Formats: sequence, C-alpha cells, structure tokens
Amino acid sequence: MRRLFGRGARSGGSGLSTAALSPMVDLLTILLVAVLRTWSADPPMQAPEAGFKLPLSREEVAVGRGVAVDIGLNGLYVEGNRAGSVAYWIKSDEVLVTDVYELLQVMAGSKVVIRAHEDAPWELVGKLLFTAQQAGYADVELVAVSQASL
Amino acid sequence: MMSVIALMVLLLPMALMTTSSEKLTGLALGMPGPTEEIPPEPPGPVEALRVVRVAEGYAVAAQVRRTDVVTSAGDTELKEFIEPDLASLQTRLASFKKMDEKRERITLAPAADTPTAEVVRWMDAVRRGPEGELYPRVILETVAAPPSGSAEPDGTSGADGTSGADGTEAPAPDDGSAP
Repeated sequence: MRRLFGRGARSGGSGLSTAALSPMVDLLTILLVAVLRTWSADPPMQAPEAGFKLPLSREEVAVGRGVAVDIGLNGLYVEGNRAGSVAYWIKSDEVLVTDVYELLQVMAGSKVVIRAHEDAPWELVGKLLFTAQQAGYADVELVAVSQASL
Repeated sequence: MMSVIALMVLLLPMALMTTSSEKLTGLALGMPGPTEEIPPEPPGPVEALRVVRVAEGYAVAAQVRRTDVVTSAGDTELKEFIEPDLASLQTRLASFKKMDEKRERITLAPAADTPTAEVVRWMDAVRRGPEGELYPRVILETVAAPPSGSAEPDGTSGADGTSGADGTEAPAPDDGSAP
C-alpha cells in the first residue's frame, strides 16, 4: 500500500504509482486481446430445439450468410421454421427431402448454411446436401463451433 | 497511465457485452450443379486416395502408380490399410503425402450412421496433421446417392468444403489453424 500510494500521495498526484499500475495495464491488455481473439461479434445462434449442439471444429473461418437449414434431433428447420421430421426422413428411402426442397426453391437464395446437431447421422446430412444441390444452391456451408471459442 | 486504465476498463466490458463466447465457423462445401462433376486431380504418383469409415476404424485405399520404368498414368496398384484411430490415420496419410506432395484432394466416405461431429473431426484430421498440412481439399461422399455423381469444388480457396449426396468437395481452408 505504501508503494501504491506513497510518492504519488505525498506529491499530491493521482495517488497511484506508475510502477504499480504497469502490471494492471498489462493484464487488462492481455484480457482485451484474449476476448477479441476468442469471442465472436456474430449474434448468438438461435437454437431450433432444446439441447441443440453443434459439432466442434479446428477451423476458424467465419460463417457466411445464407438460408439457414437446421438439422435437430427431432425436426428439420428452414430459417427457424419447422419443415419436416427427422425420424421420417431418416427412415425414408427418398434421397430428396421434398419438404426442404420446396422451401429452398421459394427462398431463391444462392447459399445454404447447414447447422446440424453433432449427433445427426451423416445419411440425413447427405440427403440435405443433395437437396440443396438439386434446389440450385452451389454454395453450402456446414456450421461448427470453433475450438477457439472460450 | 490512468487514462489507459480507464480506456481498458471501458473496452473490456464493452467487448464482453457485444460479443459471443461461442465462435462459429463454416466448413464451406463447394457444390456442383446437378449435372456437373468434380474435375479430375492433376496426375501424380498417388492417383486416388479414399478413406472409408468401417467398424474397425478407417480403411484407407490408395491407387499408387507403379514404380516400373514403363509405368504411365493409370497403371496403378491398390494399397489398402486399416487404421484404428485418427492419429494413425494421419500418420498413414502423411506417408502418402510424402509420396505425392502436390496432391491436395482426398475422398472421405462416412457410414450412414456416422455422427456429424465425427465427420467434422475426421475432416479436420485429414486436412492437417501433427507434421503439417495433409489434404486440404476434402470430398465427402454421402450415402444418399451413388458415388458416380461426385460434387465439384467451387474453386474458392480458404474455405473447406464437403460434398453432397454424390460427393461434394470442400475447398481448402486458408486460415492455417493449428492441428
């Protein structure tokens, strides 16, 4: 305490010595850099279902904007609206997910962002990739949580 | 000094309030049109490389050009291996990478019931190993359609892609993320 307030207090200054404040500035700088490095300015994802969890990836490429297709454990969602049942489309022999196909055609976008639950079977994800392809979307992204997250 | 601290004290809460702790990333999948196919890889010592998810682990199948003097493109032998985990798979792929350093493409064939999280981990593993970059361009086969209809990369560098029902190719990531 004497070191913090000693000389500054006697001299009528701010009351805090420079030597004591330098570590604090260093710490705050490190904290600020860590926050900027590991946090995202994107708005938090709106999960379509309770317990929705994205897979984890080492990549750090930002997610682009496009028509959001969510694959939950119970349902398929396009832009947050339920479009089909996961149980039905997993069992179905059809490759084209017609419920989603029609909505994607109505959206008439150029990019699809697929957010699949980490436990979603690849067969279903493949069907939706195929559906997006057939709907004329050439640009598709599979969304994951970056390991750089805190 | 006090002004610097005041600035930091302002910036930190502002950054914490306006950002999200969950950083999302996009694995870009270049999708060809319904009637298009993936362009062929430039010829090299390793002419095809495919990894299939099997019950025992990962089955690696590589078409490697014969080392005979009279060998020409297309004259290959099939080498097959079973790797029990991703670490040994990376070691195996690194050996193929040394044989053909120019090759960037690999085909992954997940099983129908493979969880998406495992596919993403798999993609990460084959793109970059402990010794450096492996195969940044990943073609993902899906079980929804026959493998003849493979998807084509969009040619954009810096993103990774997956292939669709008939095989979509993920362009190479450019962020240089650590293994």
